[in-house]
Amino acid sequence: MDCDLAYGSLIRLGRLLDQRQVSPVDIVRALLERINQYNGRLASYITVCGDAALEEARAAEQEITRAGHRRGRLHGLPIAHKDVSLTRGVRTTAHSRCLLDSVPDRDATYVRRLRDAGMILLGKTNTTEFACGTMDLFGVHRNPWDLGRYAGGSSGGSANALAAGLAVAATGSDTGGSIRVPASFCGVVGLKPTYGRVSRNGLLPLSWSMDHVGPMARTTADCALLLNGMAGHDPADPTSASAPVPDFADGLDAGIRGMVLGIPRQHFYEGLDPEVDAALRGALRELESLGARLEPVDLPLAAHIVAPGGILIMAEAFGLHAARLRERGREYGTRTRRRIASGACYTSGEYEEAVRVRVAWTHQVGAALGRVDAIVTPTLPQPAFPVETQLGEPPDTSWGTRHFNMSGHPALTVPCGFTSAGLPVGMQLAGRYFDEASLFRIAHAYEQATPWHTRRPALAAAAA
Amino acid sequence: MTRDGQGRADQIRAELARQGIAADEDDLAVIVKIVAANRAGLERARAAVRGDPEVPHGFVPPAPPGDAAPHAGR
Repeated sequence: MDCDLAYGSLIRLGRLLDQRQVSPVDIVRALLERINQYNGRLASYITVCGDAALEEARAAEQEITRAGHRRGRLHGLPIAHKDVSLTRGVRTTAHSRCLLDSVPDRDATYVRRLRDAGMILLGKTNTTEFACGTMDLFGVHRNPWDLGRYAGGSSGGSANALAAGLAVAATGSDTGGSIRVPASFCGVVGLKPTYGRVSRNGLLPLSWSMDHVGPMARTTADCALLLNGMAGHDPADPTSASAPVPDFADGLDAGIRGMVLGIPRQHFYEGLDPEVDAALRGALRELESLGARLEPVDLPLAAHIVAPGGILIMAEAFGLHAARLRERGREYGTRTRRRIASGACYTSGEYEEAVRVRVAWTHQVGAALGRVDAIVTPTLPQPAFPVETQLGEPPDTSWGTRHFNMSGHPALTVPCGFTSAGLPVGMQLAGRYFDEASLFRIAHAYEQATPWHTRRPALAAAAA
Repeated sequence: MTRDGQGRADQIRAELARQGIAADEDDLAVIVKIVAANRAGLERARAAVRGDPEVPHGFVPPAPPGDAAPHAGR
């Protein structure tokens, strides 16, 4: 039963709470037990809020029992936040020596909103340092499907905790793919919403124009529920949009008959690992069989986005970190320090050139999305690689994801198969501005027709 | 290291020093590599862009007009 709870969807667990078949304390206990058992191997959490989470769970239990109903669909359910999220009274390290003792006195807006919705803070998940570099303090987050492989970064702790049943819901941040890449590597669902959809107030920033915050879960429906709790205008974030927030869980079951899905002619289907290619082709056939029409779309700049995006990210990151880098540079991990310092070396002319590429790319994506409901791509060209590769010279994993940080369009990854070695493969769906609902609808329809999201890693054997 | 490569490294060393960022030779080698790769990629990207896209004042992606709260710089 405990493993069952730890792997429960938010929707199913919510139903059990409504029916008083379980209590929030049962769910938190089940998760803490698994964290205790596996966190040492997986390095999912930097901070576990054991006693505090149980206390919150007891309070939720009382509230639900006393009031006779739950505050909403998230009430009494636990959440893990990536450790770049400010959490009142709980340390927020960003996996950096510079912030080891940093205990914020306030919550990030999305943390507060989920707290107000009744979610219980289970812990703070592992990340690469400042979401862009080293992992030498709290371990490298490992892939539950093969502990010798990397979980993906930078929201790898959130992704591997979900895949391993150490969390039922999580948040991540995504500057070039940091939600979608680990979600794909670990076989879970992750959404980078439209730029402006979720407030970034209280997210430790890396790049003001590329950072996004989003939900991660084991199912699309759970991601939709979480986005309900996170989205909305926030006066504390000047880039937060005032677009209306629909109920993202509505219309999930509407199916995709008649929808038109764009398949890029350039870049995204080139040079794929053969097993990733096969998984994607199978997924496209499945989408067709569900009634969607596939249509080729032109995105000629797609092969040229990573470098200009890298310039923007690192130039902005340097701007944010310059003072601390000067004063406490040696406290940064080597890789983080070097990457961020590289941002000092671009000229304003180069930054402007990168913005021009960004504008042209954004127009291309907009034109394509004028003809189709969503664009379908692989999330990554390869499955998860060995941890040693990550520690050495890893490939650029933002190969297919940074594109939508550049344009600001929403993009989601959903599991679409496994390799013969048992490693998950992810499919990325990118949609129109503020149309996360269509992405959820497509991903949910696909999920209902396929078994991928029901598979679990053989963790006990692997961790033994 | 080629003369060009050495020139780039010297330039980057000078820029980091000007900005008060400490970097040893190992740091420098990696930073030069990152910057060179991104500059080359930017050059290819600019060559692939047709025309000269106008950058609107206060460009912030994407927040369609009317739906967005006031943005920094807008």
